[in-house]
Amino acid sequence: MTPLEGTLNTLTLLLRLGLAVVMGFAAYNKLLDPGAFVFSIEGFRILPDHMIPAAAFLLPWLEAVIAVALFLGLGGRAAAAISAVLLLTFIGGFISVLARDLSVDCGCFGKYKLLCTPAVGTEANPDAGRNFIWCKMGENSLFAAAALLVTIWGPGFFSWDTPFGRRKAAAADSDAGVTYPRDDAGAV
Amino acid sequence: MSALKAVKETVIAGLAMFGLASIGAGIHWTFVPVSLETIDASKRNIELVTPSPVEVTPAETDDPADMTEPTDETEAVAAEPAVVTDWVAWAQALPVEIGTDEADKLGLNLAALYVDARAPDAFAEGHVLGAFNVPADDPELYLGDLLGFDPSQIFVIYCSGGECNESKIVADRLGDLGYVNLFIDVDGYPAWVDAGLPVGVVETGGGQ
Repeated sequence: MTPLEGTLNTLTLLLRLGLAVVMGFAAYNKLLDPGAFVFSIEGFRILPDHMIPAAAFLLPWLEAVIAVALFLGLGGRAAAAISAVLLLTFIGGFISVLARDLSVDCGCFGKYKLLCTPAVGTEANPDAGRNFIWCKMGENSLFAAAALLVTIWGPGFFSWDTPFGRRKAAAADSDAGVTYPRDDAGAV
Repeated sequence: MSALKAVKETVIAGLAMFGLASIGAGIHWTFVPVSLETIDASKRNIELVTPSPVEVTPAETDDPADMTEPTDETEAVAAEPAVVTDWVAWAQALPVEIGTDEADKLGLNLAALYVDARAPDAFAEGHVLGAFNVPADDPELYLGDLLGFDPSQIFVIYCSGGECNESKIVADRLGDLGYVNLFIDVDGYPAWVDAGLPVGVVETGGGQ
């Protein structure tokens, strides 16, 4: 393994674990109160009403499964790919909200927040709501970029899939006669 | 490993995760049903409400807004009564989602309390006079202010109008507390200000 590969494997490990924490945190807070999350989804005025309760459960559960998969590196590339799709979908939702000039509290992390503070436009600060949406788009873009990097490069070090780095490197080692038990076991 | 195999594995793993999430969501939904209906209007029981000690009828108000012709929407709901006992029947017949005019009359005639579901900074900047602040993104923050009222107390919950959903989140929480006489002012705070109705300003969050 070259120093560059080692650096990238370390970087993707950190990004993978970071994404796992973000996804897990988002899932936990949504699952605590799905009754409130339905109204957050409704605020986007995108899904028809009859689909909103299903989405209010499926989305956080998907985030929870992704978080576990990313943390373990079990199907890490797939989990990162789904994360990227989810995050890009959210960004699309925010663009739609901006275009229609709606006021939403996305409920992304329940009552908590990471980088962006939920706000609505007020007399003194009429752009507060739009600024919040822009902030969320930036926040999600950062996470989506991390997810795409993990998708492209692989889950990095200490993953169930490739314990010592990128599968390509592991495969090369395998060709040279070095085997890794979990790879041989056919882990996803 | 070929790229095709990697893609195939990734797709299979992705589908497996989606399947797991679906199972979890299905089980969860079975035990924790949710609904977009925040308020069950069939439980409304305004007869128990103690009316405001000051009897105010539309004809006695000096609010120019009340002197104008009623809107079609108002006419469709119920004719405006002249005495307090009729106000009870009028309120009982109101839809869950009401406008500024009805919100104002509920406060004047039936001692309804106003609940501002916006964030504390927006509340501090201006709110319906006498409103409590229960921000939707953290209802527990000030929800304690609303404990201890009679279950028949009328609450009018509002946010910033338009398509805002904060009032629904807070209404859902108030319903969980056992309050049955809940209304949502869908016009929200901006319409309240535009109507020239009384507002309050505070330095910090909390009821005024």
